[in-house]
Amino acid sequence: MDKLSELQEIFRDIFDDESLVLTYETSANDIEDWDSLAQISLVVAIEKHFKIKFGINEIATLKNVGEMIEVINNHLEG
Amino acid sequence: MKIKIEGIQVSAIAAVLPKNIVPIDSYKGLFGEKKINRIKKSTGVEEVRVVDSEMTASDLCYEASMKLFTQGNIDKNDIDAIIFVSISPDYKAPATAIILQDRLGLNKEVVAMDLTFGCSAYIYGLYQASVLIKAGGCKKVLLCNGDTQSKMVNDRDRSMKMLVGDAGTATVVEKGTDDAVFILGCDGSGYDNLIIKGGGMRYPSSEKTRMDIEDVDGNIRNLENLYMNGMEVMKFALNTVPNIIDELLDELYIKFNEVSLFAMHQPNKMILQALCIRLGITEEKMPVGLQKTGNTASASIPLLLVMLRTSNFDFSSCKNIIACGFGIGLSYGCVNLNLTKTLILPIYEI
Repeated sequence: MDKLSELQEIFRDIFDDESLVLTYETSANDIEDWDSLAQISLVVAIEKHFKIKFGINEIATLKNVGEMIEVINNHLEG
Repeated sequence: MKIKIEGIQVSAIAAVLPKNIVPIDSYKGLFGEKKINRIKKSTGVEEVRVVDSEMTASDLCYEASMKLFTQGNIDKNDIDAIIFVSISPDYKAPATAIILQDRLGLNKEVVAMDLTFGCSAYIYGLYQASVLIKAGGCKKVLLCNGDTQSKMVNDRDRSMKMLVGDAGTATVVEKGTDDAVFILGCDGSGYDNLIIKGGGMRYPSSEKTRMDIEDVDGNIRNLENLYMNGMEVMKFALNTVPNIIDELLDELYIKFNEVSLFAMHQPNKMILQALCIRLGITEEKMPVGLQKTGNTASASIPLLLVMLRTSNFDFSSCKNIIACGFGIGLSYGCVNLNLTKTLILPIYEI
């Protein structure tokens, strides 16, 4: 499974929406419920799934799926 | 600040919850089923306990203290200090601790004081109690931690309304044989990330401070309601807590696997999970105890201990418990606790 598909599963679980389809361009503006609570939920779910730890300054800024995948890849490669 | 205080012990703990249960599901009509399910899943909160309009945090702490006197074999005449730590005082003045002195029938010679802390309240309260004992003037201190945050949040603030609950606790700290290492600190630059801005001397209560305003996430509140910037508080917690726990364990010469329990302030499940990831510990070592109570601010850590006791958690071999609070201020604190000989009463309701 590629990162986008893995993230899509996480997003569907967090937003309780099995019809949610992600693209690299999907951002907080495209998902109505993507508020600060959802952001914290996403960060923790992604950390647990990929076994990574986001930096403190990364946590609030990951508002776009493409950026998320880039940051995840950086952590996995690092 | 880091300080080791020798010769103290936590001898008894009691907690009281209001009887009134508000299930999170009851907000489905107001906020929508999908949102409620999402909040339940991510925060872990299923229901909260809420006081009625007449009841205050000091009423809950009074009941918890009386349980220690009547069920816990604590003689009220031996108490020589009372500390009330809360963001929910009965009045702006005088100190609630002084009113509790009279209600509880404590000696008039007791030292009575309030401390204004919420999420880190238990650690600051234990520290103050230990200092009073160490200074030599007190042998037995009654520490009351309680809050009624349900009265502070706006009914239409879904970011807060479903997450906070009310509780009161009482802890007796006295001369003993244990050594406690406290790490305490704060960062006042983040004071407005968790705040009730209106109603004090800076912004006295007025039509303006009572005017409801909707934020970008659709939450409605006014300046006299409790406001939290959840993201900033989480960043503060993740930035601070792992470092101070590392420092505390170094000071105690113990490793993570020698810690019996991490008794943390209970803000929500997500922050606790994120802390487990950063500390490299299993979630079993850091129990989440807010499912049936929500975030109870000042009372959260002693309430967690009482809830664990009520569910038959065995404290008899728990020499190394790390308690840690973080939040309003912004402030933080952690301490090691030996609860092997502590009387922990079961939870009570009023």
